[in-house]
Amino acid sequence: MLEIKNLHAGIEDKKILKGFNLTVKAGEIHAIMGPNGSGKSTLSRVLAGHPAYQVTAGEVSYQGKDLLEMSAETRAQEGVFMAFQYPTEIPGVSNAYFLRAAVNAVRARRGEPEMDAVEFLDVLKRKMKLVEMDPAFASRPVNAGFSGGEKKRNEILQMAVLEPKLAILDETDSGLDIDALRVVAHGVNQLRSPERAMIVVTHYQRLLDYIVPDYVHVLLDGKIVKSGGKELALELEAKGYDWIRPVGSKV
Amino acid sequence: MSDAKELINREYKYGFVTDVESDAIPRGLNEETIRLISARKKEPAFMLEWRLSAYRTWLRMKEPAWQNVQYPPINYQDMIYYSAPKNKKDAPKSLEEVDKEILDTYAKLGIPLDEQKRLAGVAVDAVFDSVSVGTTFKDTLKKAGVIFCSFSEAVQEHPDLIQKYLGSVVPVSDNFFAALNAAVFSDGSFCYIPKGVRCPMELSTYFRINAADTGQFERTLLVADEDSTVSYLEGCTAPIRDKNQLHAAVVELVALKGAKIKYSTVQNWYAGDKQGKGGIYNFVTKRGKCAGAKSKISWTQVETGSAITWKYPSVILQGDDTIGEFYSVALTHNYQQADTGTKMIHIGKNTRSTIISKGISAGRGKNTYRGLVKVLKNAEKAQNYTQCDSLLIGDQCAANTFPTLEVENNTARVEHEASTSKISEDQLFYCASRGISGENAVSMIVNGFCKEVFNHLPMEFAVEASKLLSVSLEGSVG
Amino acid sequence: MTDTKTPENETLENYRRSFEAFEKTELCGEGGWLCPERRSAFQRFEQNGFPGSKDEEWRYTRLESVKKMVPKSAATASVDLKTMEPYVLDPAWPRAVFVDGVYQPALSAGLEDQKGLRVMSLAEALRRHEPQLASGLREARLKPRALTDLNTAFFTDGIEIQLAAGTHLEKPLQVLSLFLFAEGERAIHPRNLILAGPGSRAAIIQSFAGIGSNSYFSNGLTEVRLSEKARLDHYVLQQGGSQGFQTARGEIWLEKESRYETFMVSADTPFFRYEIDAVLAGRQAGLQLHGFYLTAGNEHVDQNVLIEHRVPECTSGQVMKGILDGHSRLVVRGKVHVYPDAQKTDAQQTMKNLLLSRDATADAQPQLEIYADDVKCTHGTAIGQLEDDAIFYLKSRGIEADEARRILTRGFAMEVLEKIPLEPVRRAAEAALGAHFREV
Repeated sequence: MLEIKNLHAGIEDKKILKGFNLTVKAGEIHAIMGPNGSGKSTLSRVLAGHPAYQVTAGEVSYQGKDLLEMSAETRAQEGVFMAFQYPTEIPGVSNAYFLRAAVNAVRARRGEPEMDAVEFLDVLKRKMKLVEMDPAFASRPVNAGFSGGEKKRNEILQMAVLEPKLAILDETDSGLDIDALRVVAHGVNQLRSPERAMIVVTHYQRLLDYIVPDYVHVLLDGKIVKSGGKELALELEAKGYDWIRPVGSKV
Repeated sequence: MSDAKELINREYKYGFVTDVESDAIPRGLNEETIRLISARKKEPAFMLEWRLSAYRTWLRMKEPAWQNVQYPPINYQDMIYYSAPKNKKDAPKSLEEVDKEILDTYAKLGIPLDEQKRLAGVAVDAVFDSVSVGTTFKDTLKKAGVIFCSFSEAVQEHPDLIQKYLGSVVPVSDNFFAALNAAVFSDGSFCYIPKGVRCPMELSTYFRINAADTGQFERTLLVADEDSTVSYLEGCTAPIRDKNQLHAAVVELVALKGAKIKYSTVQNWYAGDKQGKGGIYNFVTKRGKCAGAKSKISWTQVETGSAITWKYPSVILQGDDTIGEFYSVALTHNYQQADTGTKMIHIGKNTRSTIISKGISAGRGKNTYRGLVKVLKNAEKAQNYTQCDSLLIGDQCAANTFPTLEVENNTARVEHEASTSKISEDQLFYCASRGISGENAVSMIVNGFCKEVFNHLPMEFAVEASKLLSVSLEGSVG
Repeated sequence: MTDTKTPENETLENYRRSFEAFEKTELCGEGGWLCPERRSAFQRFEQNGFPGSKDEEWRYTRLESVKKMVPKSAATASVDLKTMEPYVLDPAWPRAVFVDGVYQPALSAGLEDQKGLRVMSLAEALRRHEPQLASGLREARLKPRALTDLNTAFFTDGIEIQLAAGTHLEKPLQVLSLFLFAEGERAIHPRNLILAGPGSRAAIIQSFAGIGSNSYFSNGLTEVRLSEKARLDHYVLQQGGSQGFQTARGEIWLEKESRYETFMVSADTPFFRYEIDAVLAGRQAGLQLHGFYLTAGNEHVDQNVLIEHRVPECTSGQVMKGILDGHSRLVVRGKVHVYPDAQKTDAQQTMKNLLLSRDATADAQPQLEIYADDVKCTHGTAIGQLEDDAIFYLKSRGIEADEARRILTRGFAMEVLEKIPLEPVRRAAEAALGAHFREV
């Protein structure tokens, strides 16, 4: 589904990803772990098409198409979804309105008819139940005045509504207490399916107790330095990131 | 808070008078006065012409009344426009020749001009009444190619530079006081940093008004050539006198391509007594021009003195990718009034400006922030962030915020925030209950309030500024 | 300067001729009972002239086009029900309708039904020598100001609304002003008086719509007085079609524990200067102002607000948002003045302007003038474009760039509009917004 080859990318003049490789197949969950500054968030944003990041080398193929050629909105319409680490607040625009606009943009791409407000509200209510969200949030402005946990839950709600093929969760666990984490993870697990792939980007192993990955990769200084199964995450938790650093590398 | 009430009032410690013979011209202002000043200074013809044109412009101008300050009318004919310490010889050729009384004065102020005793790293130009009395570290600076001297000297030695840049940022017709200054200014500092030079030490001018009934009109011109860097400090004091004295200075900064100028002021002119008698009228025009691309001008000011302060250190962001900054602390106590702020004029693309203003009003002090952020049509992606905070101490003072935002380019982003707060009884009680007395508590809270600005001052100045605030605030809590 | 015929002098001369003619009519005040007040107001106007560039409060706004207009009074005009209908917010609400500044009993409805509510046209009040009208003028409690003087000299009609103590108006009252001016360029000076008795509650909507094609100058003045514990929701709504120059001013007086909430919605107005001058004169009075402006083309809109906190424990809030398109200019000026004794004042001010086009200009002057120390005063102002991050967020959810901008712009407006509690008013406001954004 997704094949990243020798990806080099950065922001302004700073090089962050330096030869990143990853292959993800449908139905798989890949966890990308790494310390601060290793390039985790850059990877998420580059895949989602953030305009501030430049790709200087490498290629990314998604379902056989060149992902890097696509605009951010085309990527989303083609089924790529990123759950933001810091979701943006949009005062004055209700959650329901926002999501329906997104759903209809995706449907338009697929040549499907628009969903009307009543129909959509039904879908939304069902999905809200899935992520244990109060229906009142449908009419509240997007993320404005939400707590950290509510924002993250709102991201998962969007994912549930948009039903992406490839979901990238960018440090979805950051800033969550244990209860909120459980709810968010539950929502994500509900969305696991053989057709859907997920990339879970995280600093801590904690999230992986709830969202169990098929593969774990360690990102250091812009590339993957070690890959393994879910046990690798536990090992990292126990030993920290230092043991994995190549000898003589800068800390 | 009875503790707070018992705070002692310390006196203005720079209020002494130095007994030197001075050579002053007669009171009053006319074309003759100007010719006299120019002749005394042996100026070339272009200077006299420039002064006279300024004087004629001034005659047609009206004293501004829009600023939020009140003062009795100034009689411009009852003032002495030139006063210089009389020296045995015509002028001091070197520091050794400077009158001992004056050297002692500066020592008392904590600014010893004696190079041996001077802390390394700061070159000082001292201006006593209307003339520069000595510049330190001239040789070190010369090696680096830096010109740092009195304005009079620059007119003699570097007339080409003076002619090129004088009035290029603040034209004679700019405002009433700038025109007056251009006509009668007596001395000041001149500084030129050549291409690519990082000035090896902090430069500093120390201004002192000594003689009675004189107006001080000095002029500073600082030119930073391409890719040069300089940090400039300015300090001011005056003796205690019961009559108001006028100080109408002009400062012009020119930053060429890639140059960086940091200009810091600690202004501690005599503020008048507790009843508002006496003190300096500090009406100053300060402006910098980021003429070349990627240049930067940063103003930092701590204004604690003067009966009235009226000044707006501004930046014209003409080159692309230029940066303008204004960090200000203004404190008014007793009957002091301050109307200060800045103008950031965005002309070039990707220009950025930051304004942080902290106003503290105590007693019957009146503090006004007045600012303009203007983004012109072609200033693509210009950005400004402004923050104005006021702190009120006591219920007789006033704090005003009058910003103006004018945006003609839709890719610009201009933001302004303002807040007003007071030192509450609760805060003082909380401090007291932790063993911090009224005076220290106020000083602590005020210093905390100003921290963001102090962080931009050179270390030595930051310490001085912080002390000055504490002294100026004594007796402010009741 | 004395005898030369400058345009300025010509304007004043036109006004003088117009006033002298007006003085002879019955409209001036039957039996001449108001003429001395009008005459002294006119003399002041003559002395000061129109506000100009030297006046800080008029820094960005010029009345040159207004000066060129000959100050002819409006003839009596009328329109049929069908023309009026689209502007009636809710037919069930009581309404008072004016055409070209003249009261229209035939178009008005439901004004007699409510106990404790007394509505009268000012023309009628003039005929009856209503005492509060005369005393209002004699007390000269209004701020001295050229446009106020002009209004006092020339007003002939308007509305007077009185709410008796304790009256709770069940339905909102709409005061609809239609501008037709079929006979050509005219100047009108509507004068309104809203007196809310102690403990009364009401919602009043002043709405304006242009239904003709001639230019005009409408110089309105509305005085609002809230007695103790009165509560008034006051809407000022531009319903579109305006072709002329409109200046309007509200002078609000708030007694103890009264509350005034105002929503100001303006779109599709070529020239509009709106002033609010509010005095919080009694303890624990509260004022909340919501302003929304949409400007396009060559429109020029200028809002000037002054809120005076004269006594302790009052609160005021201002939220003003503008969306600017085309070559338009929007000026937003707001001053909070806290008097020396007004401790425990809580005043907040927010101004946000969104620039959609390269050629629009936004000016903002948020001002605080504070003479008391125990106060909470803040203001925040932002001028710029939509946030890049917000656009990216929408795009990352598959929404096309143009649509993302449209949604965010609408959201920017809705932050103010969704606070309007009256459904029909909110719908009318959204309609004005929608009409513009279909074109974008």
